[in-house]
Amino acid sequence: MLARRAGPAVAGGLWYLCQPMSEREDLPPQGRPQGALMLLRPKLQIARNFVLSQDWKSVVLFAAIALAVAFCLYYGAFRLLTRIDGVTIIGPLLKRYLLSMTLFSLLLMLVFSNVIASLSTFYGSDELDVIFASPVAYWKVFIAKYVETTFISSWMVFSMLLTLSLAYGRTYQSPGYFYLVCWVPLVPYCMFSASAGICISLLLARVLPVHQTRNMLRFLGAIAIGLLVLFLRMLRPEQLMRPEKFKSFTNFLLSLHNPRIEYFPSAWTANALLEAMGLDISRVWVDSLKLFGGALVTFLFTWWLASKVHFEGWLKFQESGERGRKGGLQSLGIIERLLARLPVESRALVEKDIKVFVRSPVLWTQFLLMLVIVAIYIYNVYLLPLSELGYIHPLFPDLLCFLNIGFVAFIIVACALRFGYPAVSMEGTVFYRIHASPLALERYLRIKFWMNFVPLLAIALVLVVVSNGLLGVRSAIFWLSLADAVIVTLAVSAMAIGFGSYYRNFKAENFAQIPSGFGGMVFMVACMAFVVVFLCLQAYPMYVYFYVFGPFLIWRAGALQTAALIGSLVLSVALGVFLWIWPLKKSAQILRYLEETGG
Amino acid sequence: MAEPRSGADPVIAIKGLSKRYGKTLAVSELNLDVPRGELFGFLGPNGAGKTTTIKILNGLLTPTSGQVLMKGFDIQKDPVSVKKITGYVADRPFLYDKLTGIEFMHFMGGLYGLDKSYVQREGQQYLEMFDLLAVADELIEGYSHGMKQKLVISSVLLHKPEIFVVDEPMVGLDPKSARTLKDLFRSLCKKGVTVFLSTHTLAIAETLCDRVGIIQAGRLRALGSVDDLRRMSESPSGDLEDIFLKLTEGTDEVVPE
Repeated sequence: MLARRAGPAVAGGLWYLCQPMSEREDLPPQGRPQGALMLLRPKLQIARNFVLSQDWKSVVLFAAIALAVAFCLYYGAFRLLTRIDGVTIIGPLLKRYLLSMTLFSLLLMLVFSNVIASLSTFYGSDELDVIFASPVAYWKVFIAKYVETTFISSWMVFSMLLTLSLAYGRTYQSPGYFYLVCWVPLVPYCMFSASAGICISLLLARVLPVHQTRNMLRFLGAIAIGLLVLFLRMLRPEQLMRPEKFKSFTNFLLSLHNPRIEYFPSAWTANALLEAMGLDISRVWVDSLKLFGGALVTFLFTWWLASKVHFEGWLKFQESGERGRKGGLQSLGIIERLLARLPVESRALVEKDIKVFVRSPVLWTQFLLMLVIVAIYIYNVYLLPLSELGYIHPLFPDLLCFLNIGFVAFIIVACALRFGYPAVSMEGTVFYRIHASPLALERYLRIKFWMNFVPLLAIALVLVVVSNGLLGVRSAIFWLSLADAVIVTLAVSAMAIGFGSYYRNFKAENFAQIPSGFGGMVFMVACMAFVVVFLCLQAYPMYVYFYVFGPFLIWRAGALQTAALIGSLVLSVALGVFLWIWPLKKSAQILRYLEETGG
Repeated sequence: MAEPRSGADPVIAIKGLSKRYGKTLAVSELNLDVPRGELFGFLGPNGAGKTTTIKILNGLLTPTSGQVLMKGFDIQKDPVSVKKITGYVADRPFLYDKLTGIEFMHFMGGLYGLDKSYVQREGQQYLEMFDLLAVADELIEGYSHGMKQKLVISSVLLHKPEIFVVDEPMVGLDPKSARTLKDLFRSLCKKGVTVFLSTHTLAIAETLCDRVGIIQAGRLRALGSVDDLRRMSESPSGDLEDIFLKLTEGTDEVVPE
């Protein structure tokens, strides 16, 4: 350390502070020129620091869950492809069609995902203030942001397609090198969607204030995804598994062929993958050239476009603050009158949460997606050949009704992950105000619980009542499934608040980030474990009911069987009630402890 | 207090600067010269246009009209040359919470193309100066507001800017750190660095700044040394607070049109 030479509190080693400017001969030494990696390094360091700051058990658990999910996906795809292979003559065609359609559907979703992500990375990122205040060359900023956007938008789809490719490779008994290079065609595939998404957001931000663009796109994205899913369902792809419905084999084959899809990069990617699997694909070199050349050209075009409009658009974003913007909902109308019956603290919280929900398109988008999922689910039940199932076994609809509870539970868990789990984290840094207020944490959590339970229960009941109605189940099972729906929703809602409190994230930039973290995954796994145990406990009574005595002879069961039957039911209900009460109680303790220890 | 360096070449030259947000005029016809080595204080009530002006000086906002020259370079035409010689500390500076202090210093050094060993060596000295060396390897999320502010200032000094633009630097600093920062500003100015400082703290402006400009509703209401302002406000015995209140009394924050 150099000696102290300047003012009283100024370290002397810093010649900058000691040498008069006129005497400065050497400027700070310049290092080796650094590429865009310099701007990406903080992200990598953040990831490394995050992993290092975690308990090793959490890291192992997280890795194990990720691997288990990947394996399930791989195995499921492999089984499905093997079954398709078994379809005489048309199996291989179906497999190619499936790959092509999957890549095409995901490409469209990725473009939307990239539009939304790039609006955040190219315009909304706080670090841009620091970066644009420095003399760093723009090409570095562009490449860093391009890579970041592509990664954020595509990593999940990339991983999924990779496991799907591996399953395809195995069914085709591909050569060993395929497993080394199967990821290569997926890179330009992701680049295409990234370039398209970034270009769209660059152009949109050029003509619209960015805040409006982002909100509008979230809506449009949700609607588009919903329409896409509905469109796919309306195509009734299950009919492809019934070739007998087609008038002729030629018509069936023609239905698999959609020439318009071949103009998209997804078709080139599919061909490149199939070629790498060892299949002889005509025009593969042309398609590969299109794939890699096209990805490069679109990347360069995006770079050119960004260099023309990005910085100006970002400057505009700086000016498109929220000043003067009115809330979208000034009054809650009838809801406000209903809420007037609540105690004042509860009313304040509920009103605040409803207003935040109504004014946050990101929440609306997710809500819309959930509604689409509910609609798809009911439509799928409607499509079931119920009359044929009745012929197989008269109690088959009742059995489906029992299994239906599991599917409904899965949808409820997915909804709870999106809305219940982030409920505490959504308070953000304002949480300390709630903690400092006279409102007891227990009461605060109870309010949060009921606010999430009521809409979740409504969804669960709609699903159960409509699907049971379509299935035409008997009244005993009908009422049992209704009771199960209530119990499962109670437990899942409470677990969402409990896990959300433990894995709270008050610093999340937006609500959508919260469920995608480690805690969200743990919550999902815990809920699914609960649902499996819950259904297993009720499986025995169901078995006795359906197969041993039948619905009209249940009174013939012996004392032991009756005790086991009732015991199983009571245990399942007790488990649900325990998981309703315990997480709420525990989460208050956890929040209090974490606040007091600053954990 | 140092005398204003009249006659010196202005390092910061603001000419007819205006900035409009929709119908709101945030800065109106601002003309200002700051000579080399001056510590200039930019004062004004909330929403007066201080941060807007500072962002324009650093190329983070485009003016609606007017021109800003930093050491002769036009911020609109040659932003890279301007950014090489300026250092900017925002009122709410951005930091990566999950980086350590020294990692952030390296990131900032990288933005200015500085040599790694130089950043390591020089960065440690700045961290020591601000009592941050002991926590240099800890994650920034554990730093207090004042520590974060000191880290940002340290990182901005790495490339030895000739013009130092600081927005509300004293907010959240403890007395010792505030004193260190004041000494730092004085040292910088002595060596010829120009410091453009925005502050709400009148005492800092009064004791530290060579000249003070009071902006209100986007217009420069007064400019000069504190003694000059005292004469202008016709309250020779009053302190800067009296002068400030007299010059800005009964005014709105911004001028909507």
